[in-house]
Amino acid sequence: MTPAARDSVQPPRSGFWGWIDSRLGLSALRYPVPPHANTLWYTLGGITFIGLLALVATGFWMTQYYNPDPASARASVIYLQNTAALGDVIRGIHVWMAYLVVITASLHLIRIVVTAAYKRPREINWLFGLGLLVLLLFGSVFTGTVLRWDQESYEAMAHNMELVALFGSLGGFFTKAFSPSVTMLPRLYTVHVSIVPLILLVFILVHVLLIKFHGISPTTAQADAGEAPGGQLPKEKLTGHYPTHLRLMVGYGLVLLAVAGILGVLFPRGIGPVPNPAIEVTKPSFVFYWMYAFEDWFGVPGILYSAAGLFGLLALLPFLDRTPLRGLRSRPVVLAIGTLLLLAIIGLSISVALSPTATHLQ
Amino acid sequence: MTQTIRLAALLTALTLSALSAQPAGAASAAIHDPSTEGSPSGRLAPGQAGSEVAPRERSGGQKIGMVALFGTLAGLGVLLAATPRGILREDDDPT
Repeated sequence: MTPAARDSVQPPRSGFWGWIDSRLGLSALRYPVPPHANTLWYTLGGITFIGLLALVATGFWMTQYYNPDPASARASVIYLQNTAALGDVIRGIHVWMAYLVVITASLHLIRIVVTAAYKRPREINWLFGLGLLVLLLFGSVFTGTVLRWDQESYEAMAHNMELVALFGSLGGFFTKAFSPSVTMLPRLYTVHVSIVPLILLVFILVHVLLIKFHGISPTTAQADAGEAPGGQLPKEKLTGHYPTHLRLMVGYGLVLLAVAGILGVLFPRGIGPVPNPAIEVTKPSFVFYWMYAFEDWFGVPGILYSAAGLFGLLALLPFLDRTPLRGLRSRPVVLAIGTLLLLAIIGLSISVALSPTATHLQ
Repeated sequence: MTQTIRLAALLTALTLSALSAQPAGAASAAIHDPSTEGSPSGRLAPGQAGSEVAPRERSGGQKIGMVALFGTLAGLGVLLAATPRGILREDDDPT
């Protein structure tokens, strides 16, 4: 049965929502969901999306205060944080939400791996989801760190330049030489507020459309029992309540927003010292700690090795794991490697948090 | 549910009005003075780190107000997620 054939025709609705729906066709966005989709575990992607919306909303506010000119950037962040109306609250939500979104997206990825939802026919959607996480980490969180333009920001930028040099002529777009008329900070600002968000938007649209096309993946028990031929559940199994699915996403999304707000109030982020190019004294954000450990071992190229290793392996996962069964016990290699990687990331992050800063830049 | 929303609205209004009050002369911050802040210009001696700028100080009352506001938001979120199907005026069709 094709996914399109599963969509049933809904009777016309009356009242206010009927009036809206008949004009905007919002009901076309709905798709049948199985009952197991109405759990926290299966709404992590939607929760991450709501976190991204909060980042965009707070980002709009912050752009009204931020000046990407290197001579004024740090001062404008200080003004936003310490003087502008509600500036510290908005920035607190933005900074903490960025970290929380990386965490919820990572948990979403773990759910996909545990339930083998990357398998046929969802391999391409797995790659789009992985691309979203990579864009979030290196496109959004990294560039956001640089915009503050304090010591940590400057060192992050210097790491960026050394990493780009490893690519030789292929790193062109990310080098100073690419556009001598504009300094790197305003260029990274443009990347942060327009280029990456636009690419994220396209990836999210494709990701959601493919979810709607393939339907929500079956549980491992359903798949291994042969209840989901071709990896898709038949119509009679899609008895979940779609409005409840959306309501869970919005409800948990509001909780995520509240957590970001409370963290911003209790642990406000200050602004580091004026950057001094002659020293290297900071560590990156904690979401990059595991890569910092590789940098300790291999120098700046260690960042590239660790990131390419992890995300390359994840990208290949649907094509390497050819076992027909989906239960974790039927996939011992995936279980073993996945557990080891997770423990390594957590262990290395704790190790870096407890260790002093080191010098890596040439 | 309605009372919770009203309480949340009241808390929001009170907290926002308390938070958005700016100190007198706030606009005099050195935002347009590149001589005091700026890019790596070598003003610092090699090996010398500058000083950090501490985040804005909020009074205990303001912090409690904000935590209460966000706590209410979290409560609304939990309430929304936990509301049994059928209580909200949504389309009740299972698909």
